[in-house]
Amino acid sequence: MKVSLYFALRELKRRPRRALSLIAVSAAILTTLIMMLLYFEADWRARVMPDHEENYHFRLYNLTEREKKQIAARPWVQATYEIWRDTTRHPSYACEFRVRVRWDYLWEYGELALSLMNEYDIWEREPYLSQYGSTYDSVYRSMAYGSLSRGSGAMTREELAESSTKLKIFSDSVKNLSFVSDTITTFAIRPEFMAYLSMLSLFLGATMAIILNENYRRDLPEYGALRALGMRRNQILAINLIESAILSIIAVPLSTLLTVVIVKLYNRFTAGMNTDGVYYTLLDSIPMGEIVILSLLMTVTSLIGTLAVALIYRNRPVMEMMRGSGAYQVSWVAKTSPKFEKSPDCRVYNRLYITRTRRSFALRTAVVAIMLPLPIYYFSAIVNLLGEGGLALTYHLLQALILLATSVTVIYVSSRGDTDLRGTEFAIFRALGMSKKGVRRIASPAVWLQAAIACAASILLYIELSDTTQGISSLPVPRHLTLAAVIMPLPAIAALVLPPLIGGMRASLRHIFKRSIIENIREME
Amino acid sequence: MKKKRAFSPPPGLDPDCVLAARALTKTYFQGDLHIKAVNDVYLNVKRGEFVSIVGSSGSGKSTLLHMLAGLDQPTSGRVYLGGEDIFEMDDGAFSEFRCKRIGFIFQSFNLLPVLTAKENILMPQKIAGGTHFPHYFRELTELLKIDDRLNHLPSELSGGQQQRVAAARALINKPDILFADEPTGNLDAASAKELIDLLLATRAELSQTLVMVTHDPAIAARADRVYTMTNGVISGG
Repeated sequence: MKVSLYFALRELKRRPRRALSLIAVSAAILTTLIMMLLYFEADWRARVMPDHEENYHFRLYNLTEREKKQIAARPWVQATYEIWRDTTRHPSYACEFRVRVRWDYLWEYGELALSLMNEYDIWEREPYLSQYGSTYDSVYRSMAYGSLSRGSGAMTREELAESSTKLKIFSDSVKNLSFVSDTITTFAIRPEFMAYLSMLSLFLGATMAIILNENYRRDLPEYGALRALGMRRNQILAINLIESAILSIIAVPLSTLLTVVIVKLYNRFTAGMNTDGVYYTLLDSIPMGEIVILSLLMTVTSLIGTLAVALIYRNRPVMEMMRGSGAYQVSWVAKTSPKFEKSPDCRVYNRLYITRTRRSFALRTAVVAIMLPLPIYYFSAIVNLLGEGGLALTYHLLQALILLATSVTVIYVSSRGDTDLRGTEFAIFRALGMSKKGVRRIASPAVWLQAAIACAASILLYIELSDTTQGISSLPVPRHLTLAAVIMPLPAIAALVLPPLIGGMRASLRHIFKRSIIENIREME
Repeated sequence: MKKKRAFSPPPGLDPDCVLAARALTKTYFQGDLHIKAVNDVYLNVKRGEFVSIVGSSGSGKSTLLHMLAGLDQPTSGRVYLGGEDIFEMDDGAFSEFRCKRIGFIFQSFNLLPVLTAKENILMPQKIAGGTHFPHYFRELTELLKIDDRLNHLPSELSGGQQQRVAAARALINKPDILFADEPTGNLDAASAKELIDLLLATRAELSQTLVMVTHDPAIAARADRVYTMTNGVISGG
């Protein structure tokens, strides 16, 4: 463990660009995840509270400093004060205190939240009751009576339970009522949330897996050297896990910062506007609880992705690791196979390539397939929102762009990495007299096959996702295949297909000046 | 984990034999085509011996060396190191064995690019969790003339310097058996001679066994025994 930590830290220190790119990707995904949750939270508030939001409003006049501190000290409450002087109605300055209990705290502190409301209920407290009770206008009074009904008309237990059901306040007394317990749901376990969360977790895991897979393949000779020096397989695995964990942990504060900046900017530009039913600001305070949970989720997903990649290469013989991705073996075998010599379209070679790198090929195909449904989903939603306009459109567009940029970048990095590794093979073929066209022909079929499988799988996943969230999601995503669903994957497919085509064209003889390749050619001949 | 088989000493193994290969074969399969890179090799190396393996390119000598050191899996056959079949040992035991008792100088250095020369040299000690011997380290690096390049990354070193760092790394744990795959391939004649002198001096001092693949007839001539590989078949010795 100690030696794994030692090597992992040096690797991170001496390869800062790679570490930064991994952190950036993790941060981008976590940012999207946090933005999405914040939107859901705001959306939930908007949907639960519109008819009953006044229940949360209390006007507290002449608050003492102690009372203000008391309120501020309640972490589960988002309190906003507005001080104004209404000389026509009130002789002194007034302060509006809006109690908004966040869903996660509501879940945890439902009873406390209710007691807080009772505690600061102006209508039953002196001196407010006698001093200002009569100054409320009839509208406000009727609203209050109609909901929580404080003051003269005391609420019955049943009425309280009914109101609480609507408000989703889970005091024990409310929970114990059978007709209420049947209807209690929480945001956290709603199917749409779980569907999104699962998809995002997959997205994140796939991203990490694909990047780590490329890094791992590139670093394979180093791990081979470490094994040759006597390091155990588990110690190599520990290096990967430590690196992954460190990068995830660094990504968390960056993501938080990025999210806060984005959402604050969004709030600033949309201040005072009704954001499509989401009445209030998306981010009044940083939801640390949620961020911690998401960060843990992200770290665990990254570790699972790392583990998946590491296990693929775990049992390779040391020399095979030291030779690299094993690509040379493919070309060596291909060249020495009589079948290959008789196969001008190189189908044999491609079959060999796919067969021999099948695990890595399957992993990359799977992760490309997993990376596409979410951007497709968002673009489909955006297309549907186009007619209506509104601020939700901009918010979702922002998310979709982040997801798309992440997908395209990651897929490109993966494809480019694979091409770079295969560059050695391409150079060998060129050195043996193959034309650039010939190299392109051996480079492209595998990647087209990968693109076709990934596209088909991702569209199926998209349909599944839109089915799962149909009717319960606030995003109007059609169940059937949309134009956006067809067009959106194109940049990602381009990112997948172009590197080998360009790499194939660039394959040049200069590569053979690398000593190892000269050795390979010598052995082949 | 591979099921651990009861140890059965190879028939007729000399008790003084530190390294032995029995019917060692490495075949590459492709459809109907079988390419035997190493074909039915029998080999005995005694403690403290300097054995050299020569042969033309592609004759299978490096593949044989890799299998003898347990870095590559044979298609069939066995390798006994210190009396134990290395391919029957579990990962932990063989890794420890490899770390503490085997040194390997690679033809292409295989230095770790993220570590400095000093860190590369000391890496086997870190893996073994053993004590650092500053005096031995200093002596080794001075003899190999890399003491002024210790804080450089491999990418900042010349081919010859990298080769000498690789040699120091292989020697730092004072291994019982040292495998060297064309260790002088990247060195000029004078540096090559110095390195071989050092390896032989270390061998004498530590009673090391040295198995070396080389193209250089002058180096092969200094060996106790010389094996020749031709199309995967070994002869001589």
